[in-house]
Amino acid sequence: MHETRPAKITSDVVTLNDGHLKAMPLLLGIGVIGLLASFILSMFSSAGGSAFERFSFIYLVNFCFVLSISLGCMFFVIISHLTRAGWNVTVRRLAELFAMCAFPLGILFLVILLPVLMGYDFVYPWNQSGWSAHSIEQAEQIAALDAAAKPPIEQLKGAYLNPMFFSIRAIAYFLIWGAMGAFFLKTSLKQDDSGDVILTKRMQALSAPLLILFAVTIVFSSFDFEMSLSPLWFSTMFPVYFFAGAFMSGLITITLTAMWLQKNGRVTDEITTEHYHDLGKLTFGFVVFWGYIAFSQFLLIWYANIPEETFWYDYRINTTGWGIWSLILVVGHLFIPFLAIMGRTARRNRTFLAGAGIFLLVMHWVDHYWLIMPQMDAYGHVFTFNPLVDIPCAVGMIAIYIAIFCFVAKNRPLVPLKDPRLGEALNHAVH
Amino acid sequence: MASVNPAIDIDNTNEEPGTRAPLVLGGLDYAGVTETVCAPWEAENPPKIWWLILAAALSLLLVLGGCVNHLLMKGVGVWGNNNPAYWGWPIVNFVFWVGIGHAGTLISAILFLFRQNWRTSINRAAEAMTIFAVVCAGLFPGIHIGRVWVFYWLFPIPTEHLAMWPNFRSPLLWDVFAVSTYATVSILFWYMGMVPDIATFRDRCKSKIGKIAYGILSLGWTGSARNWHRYEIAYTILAALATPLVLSVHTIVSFDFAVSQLPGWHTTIFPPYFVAGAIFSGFAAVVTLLVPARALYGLQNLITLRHLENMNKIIMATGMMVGTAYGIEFFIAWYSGVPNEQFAFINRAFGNFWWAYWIMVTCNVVIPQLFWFKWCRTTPWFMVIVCIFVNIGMWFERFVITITSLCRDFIPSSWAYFHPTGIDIMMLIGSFGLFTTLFLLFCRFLPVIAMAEVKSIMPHGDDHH
Repeated sequence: MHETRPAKITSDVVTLNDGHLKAMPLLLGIGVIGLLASFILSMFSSAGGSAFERFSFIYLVNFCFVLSISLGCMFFVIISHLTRAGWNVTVRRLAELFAMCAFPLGILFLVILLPVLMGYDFVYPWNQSGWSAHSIEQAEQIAALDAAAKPPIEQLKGAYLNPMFFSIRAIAYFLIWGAMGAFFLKTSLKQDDSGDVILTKRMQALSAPLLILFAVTIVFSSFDFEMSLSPLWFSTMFPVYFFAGAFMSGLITITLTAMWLQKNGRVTDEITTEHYHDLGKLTFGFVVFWGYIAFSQFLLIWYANIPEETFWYDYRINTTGWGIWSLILVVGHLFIPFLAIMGRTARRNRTFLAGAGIFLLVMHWVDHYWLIMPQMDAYGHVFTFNPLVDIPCAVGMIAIYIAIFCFVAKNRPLVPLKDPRLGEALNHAVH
Repeated sequence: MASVNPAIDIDNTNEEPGTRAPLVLGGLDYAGVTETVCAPWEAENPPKIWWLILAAALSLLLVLGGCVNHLLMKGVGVWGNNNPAYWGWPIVNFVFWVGIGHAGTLISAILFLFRQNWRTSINRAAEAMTIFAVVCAGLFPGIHIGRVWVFYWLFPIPTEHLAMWPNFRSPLLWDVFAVSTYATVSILFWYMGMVPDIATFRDRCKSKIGKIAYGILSLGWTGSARNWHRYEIAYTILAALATPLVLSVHTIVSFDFAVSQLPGWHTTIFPPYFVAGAIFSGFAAVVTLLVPARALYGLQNLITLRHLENMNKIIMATGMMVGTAYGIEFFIAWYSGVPNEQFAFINRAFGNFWWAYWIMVTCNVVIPQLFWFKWCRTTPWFMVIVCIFVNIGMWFERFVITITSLCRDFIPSSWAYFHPTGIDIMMLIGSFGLFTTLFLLFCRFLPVIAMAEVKSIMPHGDDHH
């Protein structure tokens, strides 16, 4: 039997406690230097294309990496309210804060969006008419499609993949995500003052329609941001794949942030091993779910062996460099974590769980790299990995992301203070 | 005869944040739960309506038996299957029934791992329903193979005289593995969970034969702490094993279609989309069965409105997942630029079988939207109507996928309209007879509600941890 804890926050410090004021300039500095270094170094990168093209690609990888974390956290918030979850109240604020970060990320997306609007095809080949003529690899398929279908493939896809419509959609996504993130964060913060139960009810009521909106935006944003990099390729599974990785990375980010805060003397009493254990279980579940989705998508395309689809995998598997990268992804994103965090003891050990979490985040980055980067050199047969360009960009983007988090978090409480289900979370224990 | 609880619905669907609505109503204590669950079983005679439904179900079962016999005598030509629709209603029925057989394991395994306490009142009946649905499902491919007497060739059995193996590259063989594994684990899970309750029946049974039968089935259960300890470990392990099975079975079933190159079948979202559809139809079937069962047996205090409402919410959520998949399929068919894909989907919606497509969309996507209204998802008779529509829709989904794609294959000269035969129709109807018969027998002879598990979530049960 266990003692029942009163539904009260007992930690001494539950905010960043002005820590963000010191951290933000530093992080922004690292961010700007990292991105600049990556850009400058990409000029010396020999792999085909201009420096800006090289930089844009790795920028998009890192952008999608941090964006997916925010979207994963947003899903965490929505599903918590939808299911009236009680156990996770004490970590929900972190998810709310990260979800809110999706909106400022829209500004970072301008680096990709503005060149698209100006007509450059640094990243998205569909932005230049005649793209289908340049794709030597798929020339046959395109010729066949053009012959069979009216209008020709480029014109057909142009109705969806054109700079104006793409920009409108992108802006719409960020506005929707911003509105959703703000709604949950503001309502939850309001409850910190009043403890009003009505606010919980309001969030519960709206979580269902907002989940639909979330689903629609994640489906089309994954098509737009990542799948359309290879305009010929298509897979109905792609949004599910994107979502699986996003939710997994969101869970890990919540876990790691909570650990970091506790290590620094904040929110010490509210988040317990039980919460980490459950977050670890969910992470494990979504590691497997990711593997399930990735395998299903691959198997179906490999088995049917239709050239319109297989070229995408063919390139990622049968090219020097990318083949090994694919192998690293399968082993690192599925097999190793599957064995590592299957056990109860492993998940209840904070150091171990933190290590596994960092490893999985790296793998999540590898995943986005694998989705995006091969499209850069798809026609040149060059493996693009260049740590001098890629790592500064990753460090820079992550630093900016943490800075955004600090900016959003300010001195706001990092745990809901008066949530009606706080008691349930504080007493959360598995019998 | 034990007294049956008054058949009134207490509204426990409102849950103030911070409190949890009770899941056992009517002031029932431990003994009360046992009495309520045992009452229909201890009744000397089942209610008249039980006999009536059993009579109807047995008649349908007879129809099924007759059809199967006819099929065995004449061959599979008695079905409407023909060139180019080599796969006809039998496959549609197979996928339909396998889909229904998904809710039970989801409730028992996944909801258990998610610590959803409300599952305890419904898991037993749902699991039983799952097994009976899998029995119905297994029947159709079983008799579809032509030479039923060598059905064991489906399995890779090494023999000296039979110098051949099944095709390991075929998803149909994977189906054999997936469905048989699923059936095995589901039965094991169901039976193991039932052992403490069967022991209760053993202790309360008055007839000698009953005592012996339930005695054997209860495996010497004494209810000791050691018994419970083992039981709980085994339950958790089985739940963890059953969880991937919930996904794997319908994933493999979807592979039957999706590994092919046929437009309308080959689309990568099939695995999760099929799983969502299966859970959708499975929950609809659970609601359809439990609403009348709780009224008949006076179980309103255990299978409360809140349980029904939760299930209806899951139905609504999975229904929308299915709807999203329809949408994504359509969008990508256009976006792909592949004329065959585009044709397949336009043909689905506006071709020969447009009526089937729109029945599917109406039943699966439009009608469940009624559950946005609280009245609709908390009014028992109304939700049954919605759930029946859902299952009609899910049958038509499989019909649409199978038939419309096959009837418009790559050789326009072989395009044809599919006509089911009378045997097709009678077999589908007859399979409901098999299903209902099994379910009625279950209701009569086995504990319909997991008494022991319900007690474990009752508030005063907490002290005993």
